[in-house]
Amino acid sequence: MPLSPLTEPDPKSMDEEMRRLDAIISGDPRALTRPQRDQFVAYLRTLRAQWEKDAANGKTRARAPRLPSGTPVNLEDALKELKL
Amino acid sequence: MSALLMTNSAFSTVVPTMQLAWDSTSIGLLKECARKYQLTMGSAVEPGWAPRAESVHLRFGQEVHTARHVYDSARAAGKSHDDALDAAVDHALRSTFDYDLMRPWFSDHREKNRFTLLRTIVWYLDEYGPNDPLQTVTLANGKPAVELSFRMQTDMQFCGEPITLCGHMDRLATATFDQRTYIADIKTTGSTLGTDYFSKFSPDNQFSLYSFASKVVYSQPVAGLVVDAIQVAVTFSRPGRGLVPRHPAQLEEWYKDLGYWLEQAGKFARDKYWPMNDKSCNNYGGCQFRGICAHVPSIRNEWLQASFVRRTWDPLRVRGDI
Repeated sequence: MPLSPLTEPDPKSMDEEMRRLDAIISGDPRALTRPQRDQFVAYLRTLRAQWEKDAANGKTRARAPRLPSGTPVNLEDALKELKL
Repeated sequence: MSALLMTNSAFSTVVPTMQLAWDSTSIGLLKECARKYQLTMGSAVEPGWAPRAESVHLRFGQEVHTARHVYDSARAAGKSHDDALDAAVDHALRSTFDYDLMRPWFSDHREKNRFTLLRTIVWYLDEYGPNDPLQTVTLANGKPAVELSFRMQTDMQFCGEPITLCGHMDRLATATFDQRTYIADIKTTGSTLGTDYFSKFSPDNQFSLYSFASKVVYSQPVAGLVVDAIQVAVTFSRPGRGLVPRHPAQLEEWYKDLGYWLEQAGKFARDKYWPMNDKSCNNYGGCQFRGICAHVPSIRNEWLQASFVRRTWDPLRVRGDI
């Protein structure tokens, strides 16, 4: 058994799927099967798809790329910053 | 000098305090602070010092590099993207597991821990794996051109011994858009990937050395350097790519400057004295030796022994094929 789950810092933010997969990948990797790793990879891909969707909708905390002047490249973000 | 006494083959056998084989790490240290350089590199007969505690940034970066290496090797062996990705994930899972304690690698870093490492590997390779416009070159021996060790003799000498430049380049790749060859390097960062981030590589010692060496050591002409940067945050790992150009005149200037720096290194080695650059102590979050240099010279060795361990950094240790 793992001594601690080494995943997201806040366990409350982990959903059930993550908890289940975390328990799997925290164990001895030599005992893992390809289908188990595939499940984990699929979960990470789901996270990516969700993050990209959120980013496209401006729901992430990721800062938009900025010009050397500090102005966000994305016009929508620039307008938000100016509170227009 | 007896070869048995030598702990670092990168140093001179005539003046054991003088390094003759220089990689980007040691050149960078010398440029940053001669004292930091000497404490880290040591000499031919005495290893340098490294912090007892593992650097999470170093470990994380090494694991991502290795994952790319494993992925490219699997692809070169004919495996599909998913199979190669699985090989990389499997390797990362195994190399981040402590089989003595039977528990995974522990990192209390919010952004760089085992979970974010695996997420970074999958998100990065999904982005720059299957449809990457930079296709990893396959060497004549069938292996992918990754972790390429290079070594080139310069026209510089120290006490009659030649000065060598050496190092390890991440990946040699052919671009599908112009059919030219590029050196690709991976960097992980907490910074947002934008113009500001990529501009920090020009000028940059490591990439100037790689660009300079690539013109000499590879049979095929290298068009430039590409950085695969990955912004690693708590909830995402965002890959991005930037070109790092170098004009031949810039490389000439870098090489000329290097000559001046190595002359300085020769003087330090002869004098057995490496002056402290106290304007560098607070760079990059603070030098690891800042606490040591803060003590009076007579007790620094005791402090070093308490919080550091001996470590040999030999740039001539080969990692891969060329």
